[in-house]
Amino acid sequence: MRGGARIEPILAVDGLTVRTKQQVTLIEAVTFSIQAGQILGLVGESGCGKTVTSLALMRLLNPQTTDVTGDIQLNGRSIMSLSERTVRTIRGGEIAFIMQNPMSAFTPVYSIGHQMIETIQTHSRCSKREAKQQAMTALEEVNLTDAARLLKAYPFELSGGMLQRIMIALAVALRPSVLIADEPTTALDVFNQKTVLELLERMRATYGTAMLLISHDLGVIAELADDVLVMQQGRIVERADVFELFDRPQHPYTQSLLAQHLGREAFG
Amino acid sequence: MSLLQIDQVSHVYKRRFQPAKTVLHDVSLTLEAGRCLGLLGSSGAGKSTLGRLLLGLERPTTGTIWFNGVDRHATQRPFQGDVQVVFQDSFAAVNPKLTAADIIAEPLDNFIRLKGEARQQRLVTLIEQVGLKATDLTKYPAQFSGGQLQRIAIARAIAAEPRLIVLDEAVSSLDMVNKRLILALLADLKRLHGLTYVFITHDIKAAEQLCDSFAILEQGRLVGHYPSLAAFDAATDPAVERMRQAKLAVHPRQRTIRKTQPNKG
Repeated sequence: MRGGARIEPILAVDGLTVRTKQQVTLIEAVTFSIQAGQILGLVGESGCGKTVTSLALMRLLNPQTTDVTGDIQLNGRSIMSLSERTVRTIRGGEIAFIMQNPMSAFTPVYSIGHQMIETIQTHSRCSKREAKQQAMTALEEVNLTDAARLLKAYPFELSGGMLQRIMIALAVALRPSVLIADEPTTALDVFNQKTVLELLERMRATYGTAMLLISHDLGVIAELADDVLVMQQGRIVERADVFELFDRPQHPYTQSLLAQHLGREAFG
Repeated sequence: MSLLQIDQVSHVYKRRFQPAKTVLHDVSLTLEAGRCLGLLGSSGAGKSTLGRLLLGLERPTTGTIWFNGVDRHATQRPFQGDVQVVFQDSFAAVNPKLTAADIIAEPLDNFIRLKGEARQQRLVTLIEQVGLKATDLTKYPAQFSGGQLQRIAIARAIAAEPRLIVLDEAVSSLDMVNKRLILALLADLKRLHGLTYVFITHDIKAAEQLCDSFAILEQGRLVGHYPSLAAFDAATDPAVERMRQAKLAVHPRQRTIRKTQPNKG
């Protein structure tokens, strides 16, 4: 941090540790912070704890099977000791979550409109008509045309790429200060991947949303991240500026990930 | 004679209350034994439908698929052990209540009919061929990672010694490390056993690693067919160009989405 006023982070995570009741450590001493308009990448291979981290941030881990310790500060207040009821107003409102599989993120039995309007109304006091208008505007913001028809559609009638854009539209409508995007492009084809990343960037640029971008694809990280956390077996082994990380990886694990990423390209 | 000859195949899905949809238009392709054909295209291009036709799960509306000189759909039971498949979602592709041994043995029991010690020996060979251990045979799917389970699915696919394996997005949901390992495994198996693959993918990088020839589908039509990696690399037609543009940056210096430089605190 250079001189001047210290910028308060939107999300500050300190020593976050998750253990199962059988004392298996899933993530340990995870510490990081994100500021407004900043995209923090989180990389690591399957099973390293990326998703556990994001679930812990959303307070979505089952307290009967896991113990979460450490602190999570969101907009300057700790969410660790908040009641489930309070957390529910934060979840979606202040901190939103985009999951890997858009197909399973929506319930199949209600229309997209029903689900969007319900979610918007949960987080803001507004009439159904206003919520619908907000949903339409948000859909247009993610370049989905024919919003009125989409609101009537059911999830199975839409492609994965479209559903993922609707998820982002919902996040846009709620204007969270933090967005956790957990492998947002992994289930999509390459054409949709780029569209989704462009929408995330637009959301960041327009609303100054702070983002945690979780991906095992270093291409996604290269496109969007400011800084990158590298996670291995539940621990953060390196944090660096994205350019620094790609040019001069310090940790052997980061070096091997990058060698594979760059090597694959050299091969092609 | 080519191992596989797809001859003017069209496929139409009839839909209730909606007009029928033609998902493949007059597609013709050939594939020689021991080679890998990359079938590229975006979601909904008809890649997986073509895969299903090759597997004999569906019969083309018009046109013929010649397999080893025989019309694939002429007989009553087009599926035999000679065409196998590996799907994207390995957890959905196996029965969670069966052990790895049971999963791999299924095509073995259906097509090869080994007994006793010989059968057990073959299972051990198969699981070792895909880089797992004999002790893994007694494990259940939930005890494997996605990458390991995809190896089990590959062992199952090669168990009946097929002539052709359809890899339908077989590496698409694996992480970077596993993707590389599985691609290397597939390349090794192809070289050692002379296997022939049809590799369905939207991942141009993965296709470039494994495939010898490349076919591009767009909205059910074959819009490009390149006999070699060099020809594919040199291709300038709009379909290939679109795929290249959809590739993400390898290094942040090449980024195209985030135009602004990262903000420094």
